[in-house]
Amino acid sequence: MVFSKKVWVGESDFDVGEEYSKLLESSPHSGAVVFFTGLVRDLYPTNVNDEMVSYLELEHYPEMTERLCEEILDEANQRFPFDGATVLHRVGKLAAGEQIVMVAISSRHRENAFQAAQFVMDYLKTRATFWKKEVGSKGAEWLGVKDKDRQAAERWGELND
Amino acid sequence: MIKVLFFAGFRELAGTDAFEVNDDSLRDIRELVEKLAETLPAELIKALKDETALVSIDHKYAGWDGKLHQNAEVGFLPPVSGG
Repeated sequence: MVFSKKVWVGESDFDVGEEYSKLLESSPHSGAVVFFTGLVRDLYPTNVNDEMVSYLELEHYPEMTERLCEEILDEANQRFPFDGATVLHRVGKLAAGEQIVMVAISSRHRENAFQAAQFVMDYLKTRATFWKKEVGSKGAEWLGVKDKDRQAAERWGELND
Repeated sequence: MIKVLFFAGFRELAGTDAFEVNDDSLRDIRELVEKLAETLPAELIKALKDETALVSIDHKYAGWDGKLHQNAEVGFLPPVSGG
């Protein structure tokens, strides 16, 4: 199904309300919109020390990331056809409470929007070339894929690539 | 010439984000890693060989048998953690 697609990776913050309006403009026949926004948590201990996270540092592989995000959207659209999709992902230094990621899907009916948003997030976490480093007062550590994220992605089966 | 890029934790272990290898006889990623082992830290090489490590050739995920070519860009990618 043909759909409108917006993928952006960068350092600046985004405005969810503005993105909602833009998504609606790009998909005027939709009857459902699902939004997911991921924030930097402050409540979990780092993996190296039992302490709070001061900030995250996010980096990516620019030549791969946006294309992988687009492929993930194409795959989601094949499985759960929808009208419009927006994926925004921030990189750089992010403090607790800041927005990191946004996935929004608009579709005719709610089921596909919910499913596609879930699918896109699961694959963003396990396939897109982003890396997070937790920095606390006593040290810093790069995070890997968490088992629960891998299991969440595996429930969708193999990607068609 | 093969351009090798290291990301995140791999960059820190390598002490550099990019490395050039001038050896046209290298056929695949496996041979490239053996070549890198001659000059780069053993700790990095061990991490590259870990089963969770990923690798790309010309911006596409590849396997340990991924074929190299002149001017290929190889990325060594630790387990991803976006979202």
